Amino acid sequence: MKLLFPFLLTGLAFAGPDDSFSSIEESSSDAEDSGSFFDRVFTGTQRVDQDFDLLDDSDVSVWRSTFSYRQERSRWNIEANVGYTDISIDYSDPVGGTSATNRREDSWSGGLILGTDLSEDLSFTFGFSRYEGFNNYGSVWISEYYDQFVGIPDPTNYNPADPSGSTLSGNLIWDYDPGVARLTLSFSYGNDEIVPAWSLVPNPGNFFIPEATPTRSSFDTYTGSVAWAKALSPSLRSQTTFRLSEVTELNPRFQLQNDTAWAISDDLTIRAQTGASIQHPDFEAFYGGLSLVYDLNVNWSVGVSARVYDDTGEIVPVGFNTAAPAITSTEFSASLAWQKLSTTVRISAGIYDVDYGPLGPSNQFFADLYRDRSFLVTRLALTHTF
Amino acid sequence: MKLALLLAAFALCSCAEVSIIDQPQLSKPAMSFAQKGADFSECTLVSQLERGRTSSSQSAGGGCASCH
Repeated sequence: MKLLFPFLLTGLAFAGPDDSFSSIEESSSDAEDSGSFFDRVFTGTQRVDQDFDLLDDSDVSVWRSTFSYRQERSRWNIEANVGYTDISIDYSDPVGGTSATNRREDSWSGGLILGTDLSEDLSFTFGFSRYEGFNNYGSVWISEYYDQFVGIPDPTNYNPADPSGSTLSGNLIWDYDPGVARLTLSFSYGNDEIVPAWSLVPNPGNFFIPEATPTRSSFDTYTGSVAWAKALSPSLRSQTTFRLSEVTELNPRFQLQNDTAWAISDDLTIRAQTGASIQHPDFEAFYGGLSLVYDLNVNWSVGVSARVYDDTGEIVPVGFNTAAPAITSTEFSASLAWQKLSTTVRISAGIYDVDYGPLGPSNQFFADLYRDRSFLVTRLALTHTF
Repeated sequence: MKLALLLAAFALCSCAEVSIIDQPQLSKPAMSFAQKGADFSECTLVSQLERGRTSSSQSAGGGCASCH
């Protein structure tokens, strides 16, 4: 039911100010004032986006539904979004220290972005976002492990995880050659309350009963990026992004990414993405992908895409850890889109293969979390402008 | 050699004159780098496994102690 909530918002948005006005007019004597209020609020160029995403395998299923509303006026624009994520896992532990069980978690997220034109070619956006709850299946799995392995022996000192986080972000956009070239400077600060790692340590008060002790659970993230987008020819556009992010207690991570789009003809567009990330002491990631979009006619278009991702595994702390080993993933997907006037609907589906490298003796407890999987990925999205 | 040819082709493209009148091709949704909603076809959930490709500012996203 909760998953349908954002759809209800879409329905309200489609109803628009006129429908709201009509219903108020029938039930209230001061309808004219209320109607003009809605007309004043819902004005300018408006857009609603509704997405449904699914990542599904035999023992893991993640649904996410998001809704966003955007309004542009003369110098100002505002965007609000809300999202709901539902995660189900069939938890198991190949080492046998905990019991197999089914677990389901959900989370909410929301955000607000305000933008303004500072001059003819300069604009600025400022945003705030917040989420409450688990929003990835790995953290649910790890939380279940600690709930059983540490929470059962020491329920007094153990606190079940309650993830949440907030992010402040800003973008300075310089359209120094309007419609042709753009430079974007971005920065953000985020704080996340995450699932900590727990351990049972000797209890000075009772030698026979160990005490549950967590690692740090609050992390700050600072991110800055520069993106340079330019039309290299009347049919070729390229964007290069350099991103630097730093998380509490970890070394900075550097990321470089290039996106290129080439309109081969009026109907056919090819897109490419390549990128790499590095982080001292031993994290490296490389990725790339290609996609083709073909317009069948004015209403219908199809697309196919293929991409690959490879990294050396998460930063591994000393001793027992929950870190994911090296991963190589590939995705093949296809999409179909229908567009008429100001409405677009797209459905896409694909196979997402994930191959993990070997685990070490210190994280064998999570061999079932980090086993090779072949996910079904689907997406249904709707965009309407008015 | 192939790389040199590719770079040369890229350089030639970058020399082409581009102006705002080229918008019909350049402004197609498929040419945008800020795709969202129905213009975007990729499932957004894969980002929770591909830590090195994430483009959002959010760090752990409710993850675990080593998931950054």
